Amino acid sequence: MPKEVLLPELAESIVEGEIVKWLVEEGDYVKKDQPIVEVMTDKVTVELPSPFEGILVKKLVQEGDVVPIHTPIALIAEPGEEGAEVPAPAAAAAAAPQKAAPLEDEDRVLFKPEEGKLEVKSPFKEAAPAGGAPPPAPADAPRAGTNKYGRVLAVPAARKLARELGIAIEEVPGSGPAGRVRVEDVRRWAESRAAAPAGAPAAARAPAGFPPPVAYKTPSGYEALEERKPLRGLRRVIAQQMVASHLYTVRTLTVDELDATELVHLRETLKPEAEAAGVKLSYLPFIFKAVVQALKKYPVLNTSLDEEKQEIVFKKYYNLGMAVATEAGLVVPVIKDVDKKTVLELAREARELAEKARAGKLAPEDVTGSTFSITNIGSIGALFSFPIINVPDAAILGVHTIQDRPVVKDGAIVVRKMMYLSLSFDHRLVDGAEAAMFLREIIRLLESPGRLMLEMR
Amino acid sequence: MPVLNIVQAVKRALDEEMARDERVVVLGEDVGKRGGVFLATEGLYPKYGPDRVIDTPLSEAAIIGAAVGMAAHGLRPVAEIQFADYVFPGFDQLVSQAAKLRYRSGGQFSAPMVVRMPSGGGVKGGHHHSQSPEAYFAHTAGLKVVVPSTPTDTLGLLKSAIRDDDPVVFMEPKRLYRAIKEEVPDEEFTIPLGKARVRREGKDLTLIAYGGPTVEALEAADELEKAGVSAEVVDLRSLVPWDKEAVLESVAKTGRALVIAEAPRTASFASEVAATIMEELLDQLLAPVYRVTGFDTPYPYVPDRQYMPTVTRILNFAKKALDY
Amino acid sequence: MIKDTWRFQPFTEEPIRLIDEEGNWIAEFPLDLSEDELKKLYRDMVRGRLLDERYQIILRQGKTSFVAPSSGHEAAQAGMAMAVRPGFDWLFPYYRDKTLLAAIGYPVEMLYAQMMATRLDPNKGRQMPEHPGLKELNVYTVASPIASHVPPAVGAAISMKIQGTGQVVLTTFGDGATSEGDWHAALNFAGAQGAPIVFAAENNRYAISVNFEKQSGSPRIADKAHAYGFPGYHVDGMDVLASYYVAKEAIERAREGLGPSLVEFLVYRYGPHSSADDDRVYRSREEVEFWKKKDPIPRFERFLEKQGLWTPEEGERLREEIKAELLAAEKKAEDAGMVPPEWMFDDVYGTPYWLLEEERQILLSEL
Repeated sequence: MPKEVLLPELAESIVEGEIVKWLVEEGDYVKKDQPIVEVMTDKVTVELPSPFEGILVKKLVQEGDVVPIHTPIALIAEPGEEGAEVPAPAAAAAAAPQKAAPLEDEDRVLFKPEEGKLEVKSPFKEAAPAGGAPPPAPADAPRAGTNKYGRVLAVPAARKLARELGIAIEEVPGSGPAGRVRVEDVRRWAESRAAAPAGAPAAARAPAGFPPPVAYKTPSGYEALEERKPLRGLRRVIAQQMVASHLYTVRTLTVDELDATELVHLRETLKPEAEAAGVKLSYLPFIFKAVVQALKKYPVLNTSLDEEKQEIVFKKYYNLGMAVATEAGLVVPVIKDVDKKTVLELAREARELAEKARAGKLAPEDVTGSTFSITNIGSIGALFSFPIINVPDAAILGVHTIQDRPVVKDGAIVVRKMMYLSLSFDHRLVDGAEAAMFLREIIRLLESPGRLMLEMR
Repeated sequence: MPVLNIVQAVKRALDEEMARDERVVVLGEDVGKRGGVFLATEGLYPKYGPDRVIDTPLSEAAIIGAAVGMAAHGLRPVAEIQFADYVFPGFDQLVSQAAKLRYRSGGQFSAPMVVRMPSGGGVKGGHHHSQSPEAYFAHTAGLKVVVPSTPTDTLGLLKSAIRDDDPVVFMEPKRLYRAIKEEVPDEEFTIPLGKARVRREGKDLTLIAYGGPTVEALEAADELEKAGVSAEVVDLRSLVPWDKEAVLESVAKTGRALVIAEAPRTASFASEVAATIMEELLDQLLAPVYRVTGFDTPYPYVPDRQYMPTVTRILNFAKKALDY
Repeated sequence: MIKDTWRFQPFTEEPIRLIDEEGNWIAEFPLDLSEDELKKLYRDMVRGRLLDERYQIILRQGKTSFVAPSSGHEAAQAGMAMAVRPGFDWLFPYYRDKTLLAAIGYPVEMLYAQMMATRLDPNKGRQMPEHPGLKELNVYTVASPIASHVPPAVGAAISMKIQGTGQVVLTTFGDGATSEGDWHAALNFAGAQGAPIVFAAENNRYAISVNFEKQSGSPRIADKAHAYGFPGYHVDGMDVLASYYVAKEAIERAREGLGPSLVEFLVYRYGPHSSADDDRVYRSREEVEFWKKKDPIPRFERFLEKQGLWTPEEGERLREEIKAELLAAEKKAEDAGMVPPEWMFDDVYGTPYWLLEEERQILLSEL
């Protein structure tokens, strides 16, 4: 296809030129840059060089024509092409200067964006780990960095996490510049200390795919009748532990009833002697002992699941968590080595721990390390309950109110002092049969406390 | 020592500078024979005459634009815009001519001028006699912006502004014009631009303020003291340039800050201060930096005092910060 | 130069003209310019035309990004240049005044340097092309917002009045500027103050594409001076001698304390408004052709020829000489090298500011 030669912008704010003289004839072979035509602008005449090599097949304008710039003035074909059809000239330029190609939109608009892109100089090294900055060993920064006023340097999210976990931020070694404490630092510190109450995970999270919690919205018109209290402190920790327990254990309930008539009688008898020893005697110490015996017989109730290693941990020690209701909420102090303590000792320790709990003075070691737990709602008056397992225990025993009730004994209706016992157990670790038998064993030992005397170690 | 209010401080600053430097001239509507609608230029016309105290036509574009030309030619004009609300007809002269003259001329020309304007609400003036438009000017490179809150600061800062080689927008909180009187040094003094002042020391919470609300900030600090909270009050005094160092020093000490200003919250200068504190002190903050500002409405006639940051509003935000 | 009488009437319906299109002197007073002065006027016009043409070339070469063609304005601008005292009076020009500025002595290499943003620009490459300014010659740096320079021009004039310096301000602008609020505010203030300022409108009838008929209901810009209490002169801006003489009179009136004047120069803009304007959509070729016949340069050549001061060969020789000067200046400007990005943070204020130093570091880390 022959190429068009356009009249170029002759550079001097010229919009048109007059064809003065053709320097070549149609059919001539022209080399690139060879002058082919003389064009006059204002007073200056220039020779236009040919932009292509080839045969000048057609002059599209004649000498004397005044032609706007960008108008095709000639056609040049490659050698061998000259026989091809010559397209009609795009514009009869001489007659109508107005009809010259209008400026492209691009050329009619000022302040076009600059072309090309600026060089990008990335500060990131290649193959950086996805998690961001690698955490250095905490040993380098034994405690959190501070500013000159003693304020700990910590990012707000780290402060928040520390509050939730009940960790003092100033103790957390900071991995950031100047000992700045980051979120990972708080997590790592929490894990290394295992200081979280009852070892519950800091933030219980539902498994993936779980629907989100329902958003609370005040019904309209009742705004003034609502008062809000931030979820903080112990309440917040309890809430999280409850969620964790609920999500991660398969909590199952088995219920049985205990004829506590003889136990009640025993306690009444022993109360004055205990008081003389400075101890207020309740049913709990006896129950503790019965539980330990039962645990020895059914050791699977005294286990924990090590999720990470996927191992069931069988424990040969017996620390009983004892749930205590305090003003701030429920706490579970732990009595250690119940199998090594007398009933009297257990009574005393239970009292002391309960008092400490209510005074808010429990230390972390007081609330960790349980192997089994007991919750006594009976002191408040519940009939029976479905307690939440004190993770990572395998089970929890609910002890309830003792009531005079008519029961059938030896074919007759008699009035006995009855108590329901609820056992919540983690069905991943404990089967229903074992749970039921465990309960039965406790009942067997307590309904006739003499048996307990005979069999306990 | 003499006792002056803010208007008297303005007058004294102008008088001293005009006596000291014959290039200093004052121009604006009613500044000459009448002495200004707030009497800020009273006495200057009889003393310095019509060539140096110029009553202009009613045209902020002419006032500010002429000030640029005068300053470029060698005078040191102090233009008065009668209310900050009326600066807008002259806005282009400020941002296109004054602000950019030194820069666009490569330092060949400059505009050492001051544009003074009474600003802020609390005078029952409604939409067009109550605005605090400092954000527009703080946002314009090449302008300096000063907002004093006491007679001493007004006097020292206005003198510095007049001596400064760049265009300075000098905003005077008009509701405080006659409300604050204090002893002012007898001898001449200047206060440098770009330096804040700690008005009250404290350790629990920093209240950063400028202009009219500095008064409420100090009252709030008194109330906080009764509640056992020790608040530090930092008066910025200058917005461009501003004393970042003083602000950061204070917030590093207390860990909590409120930025208190009368102008509407969105895109305010208070936002600039809050963002800077966040960027530089994140790991030392114990609470978010709350902005306590005017509301994003045109300035209403009613309510007047409740538009701007009240002591109650400051206390409420202070509690949020302390409880965080 | 104290005169008992002033030559020119303000507010004439017909434009003031001193040479006709054939080049005959038609004034009522004798010509009192020397041969050197006449030759300077001619040289200044030719330089302005050639510089305009060279700007188009460097635009196409990509060495600059914007040109405001001034071909057709040469007579008005060369006339005004001769009427002021360069380096003493102050100029507040607009972006189409290359002939005027070169004529008062603004070094051409510095004009080029501003076009190309090279280090030879006294304005340090801060603005887009066609925004020159030079302190040594009291040329106030151009700013883009139309008419925004006119109030400052008035301020400078008031300062001159107050200080009694004997200086005058000449400020130029196009027809579009006379609609801006700032323009009216400035003229009003100047009239009230009796400031020593000449407001010069280079009326080429088009504000980009908007014809003057749509710009104003007034038939002439000169008439607007009535509103402000000073004379307005209506001048044939394609006549360099009329342009010079009227400008001179207005400037001397101001210098003598008689206050402002508004001088309207009727010119024509042969090129489009700027480099990216297709003027064929808003004016006809016939109109452009009509005005081409009134080209101020050939018109003055005809006059000079009649005075025996010009021949076509002289003209050709002068063009070659000027072209060589311009090319040398162009090269000098280009060789100075582009303004570096780091200069961005200087001259915002007269004193250092910590914020700008911080921001400078941000940029440096990218370079």
